Amino acid sequence: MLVLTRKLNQSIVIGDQIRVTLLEIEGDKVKLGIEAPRDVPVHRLEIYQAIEHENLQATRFEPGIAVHLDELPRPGDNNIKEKDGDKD
Amino acid sequence: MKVTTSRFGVLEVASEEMLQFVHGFLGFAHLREFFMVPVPENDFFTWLQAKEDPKVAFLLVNPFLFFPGYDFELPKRYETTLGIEKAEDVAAFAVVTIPPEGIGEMTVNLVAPVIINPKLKMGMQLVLETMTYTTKHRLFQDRDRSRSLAAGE
Repeated sequence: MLVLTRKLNQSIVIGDQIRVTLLEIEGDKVKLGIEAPRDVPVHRLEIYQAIEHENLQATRFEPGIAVHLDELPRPGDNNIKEKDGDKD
Repeated sequence: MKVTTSRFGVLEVASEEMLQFVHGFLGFAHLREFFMVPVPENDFFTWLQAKEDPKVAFLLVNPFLFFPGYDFELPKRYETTLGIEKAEDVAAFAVVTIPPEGIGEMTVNLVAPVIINPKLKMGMQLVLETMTYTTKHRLFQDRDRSRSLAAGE
């Protein structure tokens, strides 16, 4: 891992399109400003990992489950508010 | 074209049914083309099958029907990415996880909704910056009802 020391309001650049600026330091928290092209997704790592994990889980269901899906309750069958004109 | 899937057999998919996912899904960034496979007799759900990997399919649900208060904002930059010009260009889904305990225990990922522009056949999994939602919201709160469903009654 490359380690760089920065002071408040100083930046680093990654490639020629991404700039990360140290905006605020307060106790054990720092605020970072990130300028990146629109097509570069930027996420907090733990959120990124949680979603990645959930996506993997979501594809790992029993193959046979698909045949039971027509037994699923509809939103109105449960504790969910009924949509207008969709009673019974 | 014919597409082989591990759960639905070999399907005939028209090229105009293919959806391009600009960033793929987290954990599946190499898969960019998906298509929908309807769930028989239940149009609140739909399968999203990867074209290039027969084993990869997500179950999607209309989150607003099950979570009436669900709300998020699509950042402007993604409107551009997906070519969205007006509200009718957007369809939103949430990814369902079916645990080994069965379909009655299903959870929904509300922090990473799937946004599709049906007109341009483009989609993406959005990562919300909000802390309001998590990756696991129970779809069915009623435990007795869930149990009977899990047992296939």
